[in-house]
Amino acid sequence: MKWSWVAQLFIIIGFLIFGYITVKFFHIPLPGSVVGMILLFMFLMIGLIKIEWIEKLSTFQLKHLTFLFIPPIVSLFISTAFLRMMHWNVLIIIVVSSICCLLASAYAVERYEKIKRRNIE
Amino acid sequence: MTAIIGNVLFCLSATIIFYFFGLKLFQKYRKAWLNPLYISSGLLILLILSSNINPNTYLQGSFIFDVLLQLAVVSLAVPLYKQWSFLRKNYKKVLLGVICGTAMGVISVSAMAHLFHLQDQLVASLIPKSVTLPVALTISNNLGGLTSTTVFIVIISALISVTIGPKLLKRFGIKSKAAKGLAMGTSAQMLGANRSLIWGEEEGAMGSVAMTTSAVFLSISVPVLSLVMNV
Repeated sequence: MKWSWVAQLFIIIGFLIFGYITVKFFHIPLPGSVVGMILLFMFLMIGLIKIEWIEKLSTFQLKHLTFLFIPPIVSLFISTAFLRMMHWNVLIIIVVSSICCLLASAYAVERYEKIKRRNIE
Repeated sequence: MTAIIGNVLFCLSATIIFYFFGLKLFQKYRKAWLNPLYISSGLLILLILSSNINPNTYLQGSFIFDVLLQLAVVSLAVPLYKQWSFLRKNYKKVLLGVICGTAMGVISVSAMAHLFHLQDQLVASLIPKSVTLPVALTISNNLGGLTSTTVFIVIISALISVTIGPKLLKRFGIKSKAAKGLAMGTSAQMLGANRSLIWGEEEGAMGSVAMTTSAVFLSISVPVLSLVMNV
């Protein structure tokens, strides 16, 4: 059976709503979308949802993901909030902590791989 | 009602047209600085500011993209499912990279916020800065941050990470494919995962795995964080 784009979209929307309901019902402190993703992942694992049913749409969505980032960026620059936010200390924090985050994870992983390789030899 | 539908249609069509224009331009010249994201957003901003279109028309229509972004988060289950066996084999590496990166990000933000005497509200927006946007919004709402501030910080920090990241990692002699992918995915989320796909299959897989894991990791640790911060 061939699943059209619309059917695939409905499955994804269904899981988003499913996620929101689960969050409300069990008072989970996680975003509804993340819970929806976890639920969809579990359904894929136990085979209730076949990967072919949603693969086409989700691949397309993730391939054109940068598209979804245009509106927030545009909204920022055309709204007045942007100028109020552009403090030098906030910018410094963002730059420095981005560097910290990048280097910390890269170094930790590289170290780990080196130690592991040494143990094997 | 009709005004809202009109605004949404205007916002959607303008964004789609500019996105495809940016994409075509990038595919034609293949220059890194011609990133479709920068070009399309830049041109769209210029158009709105230079013409007499009311900026609010665009702003009011752009809520539709929040929904699309949330749907994209749900779709992340597909790459996660496909990479599951790969992830199981490398789970120690992934967890190590994601936790170290996210923790260092949060620690450095808190330390510098203390140094600069920032308001709690601003700090709450800064904490989830390295997580994918829809998740970051929810986290900062829980911590008491402002939505517009969080969007700004997440976007800017992803842009900065994705711009300086590859050069920085090269400078510091990081050669491991897993390390590069994980670092980009942890700090620049979706943009980083996209960028690490350019390096190759393994880096790309690591990037998207890191993005998902860091989102889940940080949203789980927020209840703990809010206890610590007393917000």
